[in-house]
Amino acid sequence: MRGYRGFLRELLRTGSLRALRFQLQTGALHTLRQLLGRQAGDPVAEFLASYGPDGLRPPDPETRRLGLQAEACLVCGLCTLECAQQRGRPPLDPRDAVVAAARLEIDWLRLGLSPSVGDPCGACSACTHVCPAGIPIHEVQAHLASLGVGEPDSPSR
Amino acid sequence: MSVAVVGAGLAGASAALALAEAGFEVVLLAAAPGASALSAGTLDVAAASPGIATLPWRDALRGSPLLPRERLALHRRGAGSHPYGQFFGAAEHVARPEREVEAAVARLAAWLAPHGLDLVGSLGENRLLPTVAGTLHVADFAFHPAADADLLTASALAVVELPGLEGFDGRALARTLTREIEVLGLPACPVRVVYPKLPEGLLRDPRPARVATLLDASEARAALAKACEGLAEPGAVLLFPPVLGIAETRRVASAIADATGARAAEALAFPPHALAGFRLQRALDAALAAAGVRRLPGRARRLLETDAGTLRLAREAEGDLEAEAVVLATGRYASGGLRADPGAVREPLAGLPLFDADGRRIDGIPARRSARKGYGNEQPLYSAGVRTDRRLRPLAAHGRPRHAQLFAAGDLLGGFDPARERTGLGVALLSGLRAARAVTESLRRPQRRHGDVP
Repeated sequence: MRGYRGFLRELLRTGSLRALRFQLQTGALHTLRQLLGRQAGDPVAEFLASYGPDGLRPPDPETRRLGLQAEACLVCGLCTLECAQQRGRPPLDPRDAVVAAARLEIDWLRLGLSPSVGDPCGACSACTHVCPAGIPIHEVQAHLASLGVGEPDSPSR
Repeated sequence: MSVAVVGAGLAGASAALALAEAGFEVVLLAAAPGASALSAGTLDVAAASPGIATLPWRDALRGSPLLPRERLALHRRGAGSHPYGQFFGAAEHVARPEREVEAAVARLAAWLAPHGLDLVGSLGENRLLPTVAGTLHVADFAFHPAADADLLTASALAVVELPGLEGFDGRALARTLTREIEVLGLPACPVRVVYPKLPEGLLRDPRPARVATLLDASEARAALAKACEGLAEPGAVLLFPPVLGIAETRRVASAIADATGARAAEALAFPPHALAGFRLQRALDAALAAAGVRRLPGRARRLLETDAGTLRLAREAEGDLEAEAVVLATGRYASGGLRADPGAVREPLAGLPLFDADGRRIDGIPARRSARKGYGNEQPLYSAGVRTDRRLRPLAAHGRPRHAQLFAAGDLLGGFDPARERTGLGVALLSGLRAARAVTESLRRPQRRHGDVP
């Protein structure tokens, strides 16, 4: 019912018909889907019933594991520096990869990543060794590559 | 005799290097580079900043710039809890601290020089160095090539624009810097932006680290030097973003200087483009390897005491590590030396009590409880750290050293805020060397009973 409360508040605050239409299209439809498509007991099925039509999928366990670790990122950039020193040119810069992994669940459709250049990540793990936050960056790279992130026509672009 | 040092930042590295020189077998346990690897290009012992009232760079009465040695005296007198206060006391004799600082910096410079990194400066002169944001930083000691950007000795400044380079806007830098020079009433120094015709492919990947790596190759730096010909007159400074090579910085800068007659310098930069800190860490690592320091990767988990009373470090992955003395240079929150968990702030290795700048204990209570409301207020968490006796042995809750052979150095020492006071690297260097001296004295004299106070 959260969608309805938000829409009422928005309507009272702005008195705008555009807000009303927007809420009907998004919030209300969402809530309807949630009410109608409820499948008790199975969180994944419930998630898919609510958010599946919007193109969202629950992350697989590996994405979630790496994503949680990637959230410790300080964005210090040492992995980028070390990777450049090792003459690596992976399709995704290691720092971008970690930031992407941390946001993969929520921002899958809006990741503005640079286009694919260079060679596949050689998994030399130099980035992982310099990471002050202890993130297994080469694993993140391998996982994102397996998902197709960073390729020219990947869903990230 | 073996000594274990935990942490490979400037504090840990200088302790390890000094101990290796003193003839000890040194084991360095390091999970990752230290916070030194994120430094901007200066080594501030007595920091000052035109923008921060608590870091005066001019004499309030005479209006003339304060020299680093005068600021060092201010740091000692003003901040009771600052490690300098403990190192040097409040004595009016400035000669001894000055000698110690200059000797420490000379020692570090001698360690770094064989590995391609030059450290210059003195307590008797200021350098005004521009940052990539166009603000000015007052430095006493600085690394090449940032040190060469000194506005006080430059006839003119030409900012080199590298279009599209990540984290750099030459025109914005020049605009801000021009205003900064005006506002601070500095001698006029014309600032302009120059656009070299860059070698093909230099900026294909626009990250400073990649460009710097390309410039380590001799053809690329020759091509850049040729492109810079005629852009600046002799005596001027060609101010680059941080891209002038990583391993071959000296050669890149001198190639450009030879081609143009101007000084090739870098603006001070911050993470994620902190190339200067990366070079420092690289040179420190090379110096450690050359000194025969045994380096073990991985994170220490817990500091324990054996039944015989000696120290033992439990590691996360590998087996335990025994040592006759241990130097903790584990830093603060980012490196894991301190933990600010939701439940409590703590020192995870030995459970040492932590104090803020006002001397209040703040370990064991939730981080949010010690926070102070209000923008710009000093935050106790930022000055948290251990307290030590005069020989840098961290104190336990009862007020005596936790262990006769346990020492601490660097940011782990509490009582100051390295980010606000900007003395992080200065404290790291001085405390690292002091800890090494304390270890040497303590292991070379007859052992005292455990827990005794000297």
